[in-house]
Amino acid sequence: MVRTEHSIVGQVYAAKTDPKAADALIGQYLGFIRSETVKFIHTAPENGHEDELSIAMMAFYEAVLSYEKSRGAFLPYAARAIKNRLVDYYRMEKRHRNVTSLHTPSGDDEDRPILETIPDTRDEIDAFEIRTASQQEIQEFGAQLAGFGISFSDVADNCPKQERTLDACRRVLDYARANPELLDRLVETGRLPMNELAVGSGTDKKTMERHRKYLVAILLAFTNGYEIIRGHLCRIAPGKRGGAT
Amino acid sequence: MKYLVMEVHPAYAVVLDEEGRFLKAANLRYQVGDTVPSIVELRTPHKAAPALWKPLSGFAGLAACLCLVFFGYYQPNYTAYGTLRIQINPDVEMTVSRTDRVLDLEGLNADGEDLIEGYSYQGKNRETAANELVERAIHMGFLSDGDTISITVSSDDADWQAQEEAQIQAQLEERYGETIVIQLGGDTQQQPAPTPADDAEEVVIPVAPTPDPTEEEAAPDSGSAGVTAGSGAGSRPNTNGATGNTNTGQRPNAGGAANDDDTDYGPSADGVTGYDDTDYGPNADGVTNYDDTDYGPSADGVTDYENTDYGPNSDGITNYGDTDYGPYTDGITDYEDRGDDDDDGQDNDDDQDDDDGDSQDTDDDRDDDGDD
Repeated sequence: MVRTEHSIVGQVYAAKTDPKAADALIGQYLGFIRSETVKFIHTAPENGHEDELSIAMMAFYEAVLSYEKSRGAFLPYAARAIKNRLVDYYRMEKRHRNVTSLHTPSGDDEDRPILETIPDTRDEIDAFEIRTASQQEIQEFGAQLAGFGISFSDVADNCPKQERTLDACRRVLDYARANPELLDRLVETGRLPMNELAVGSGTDKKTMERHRKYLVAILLAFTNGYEIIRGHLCRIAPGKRGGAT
Repeated sequence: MKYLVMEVHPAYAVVLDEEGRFLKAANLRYQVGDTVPSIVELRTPHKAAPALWKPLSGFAGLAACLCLVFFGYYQPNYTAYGTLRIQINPDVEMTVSRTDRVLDLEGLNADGEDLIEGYSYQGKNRETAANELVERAIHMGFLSDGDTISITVSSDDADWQAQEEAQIQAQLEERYGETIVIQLGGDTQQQPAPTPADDAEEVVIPVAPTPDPTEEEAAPDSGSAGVTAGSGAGSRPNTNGATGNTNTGQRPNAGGAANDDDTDYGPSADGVTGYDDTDYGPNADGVTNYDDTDYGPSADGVTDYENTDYGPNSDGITNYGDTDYGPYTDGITDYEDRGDDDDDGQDNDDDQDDDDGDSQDTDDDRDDDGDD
């Protein structure tokens, strides 16, 4: 028993920094996560509780990230984390409780759920095409980022949490967009033109250095190509221009 | 807010929001490229600030303890705070801590070395050590009645120094004050002390040896002590009038060591200690006529208490009835005489003149002042 605990502690510590190790660990302990979820929802997750299972998996990952040796054995800690997260999730979802589910029977003779009575306005084929296109673009984007030695997980970890810092990063982005040669330079050399960006945008060099990975990602997104991603980031440009004027 | 799913993992998905944030969220069966309206965001653990103090806390605690021990116990008890120099004939200096703990004891002359030889001062406080040293000095014959102990306290702390001086003096006075002169502030020129002499506050409190029966009893002792001292330390500074250390001085015939037996001081020193002769004063004829209480110039041996007629016209008759004082005293109080005088005006004039004279006098005084 002690030995198992010991090995899992090592795995957990490895998973803290390495997303692949985290994925492996979660795959290994999926049974545990599932059983903890079942303890909470009292039914199989497949009976319409897939979201809870996903939440539980994320809670497990959160537990991995926040676990410290001094906090005791990992599995009880993770179980507690999963339970708390599911409670939170239920409280969050409570506000939707009086919303009728699309899956409830419509009440007419044919015993169809409401969902099927609503006219389907979505163009499934178009949506599929859009999704495939964006998938492709994101894969390309991911591949280019990988060329910089950066994964999306890294970018997410490196993303500024504070609004002020985010604004500073946006100023850098604005300046880079105003001077496209800097973006080209980034693509060509694979390095951030730190000095020019810092001087041009008035952002502290240290702040830029701290969020280097994020800056690389967001600047790359505004180089040529990546129309869909750029289209998705619609709020950056007006927000920025609004802030500038 | 819409979120674009960028990357999916079993436990989470990386999504990009419209403001350019990359976030980790619960992977609710997302696929890369999906756009989702709401996410369950991953809560990243608050990165506990690296506790810089933790590795240092042990050292900090240790340092605090050491500081406490050092400043609270060691420094007051084991570091030199001042010196106390005792000069009898043996010259001894003790180094004292703030809490009156004797830290070191050294003899500054040969007698001093003798005095402290074999004496253990460890763990004793100043009071005990001083008492024992004086006791030892008496025992070894360095100190006899009427001799002087001269004490010098020196320290950087003037308050502490004054306090120590007062304490040691009070303490020695209490014990030996009747027979031995305690003197504050020694003559540091005679034997240069290691501490600067300017610090030493010299307060000489003369306590004259009162001739009393105890001195008579102690006389043989002092004699023997004098002999040993004379042989052992011939350089006993009683010829040196300036020092006044052991010799309260001003002994006219204190000529040498041989005269130590001669305790007959004063002007009528004839080698015979006339202790029995208690007949002092000008009429000293060796006969103590206690009965004669007739003092003063008209001492005729008859105490004429009855004669209460004082003053210049003292004729033995106290004429109280005569209230006629002053220059016109003829025994007749002539009140009427002044009132009935016709020349009132003249009298008044005289008075005024007198007043004028007085004022002039004061003016003269002022002039004098001005001249000065």
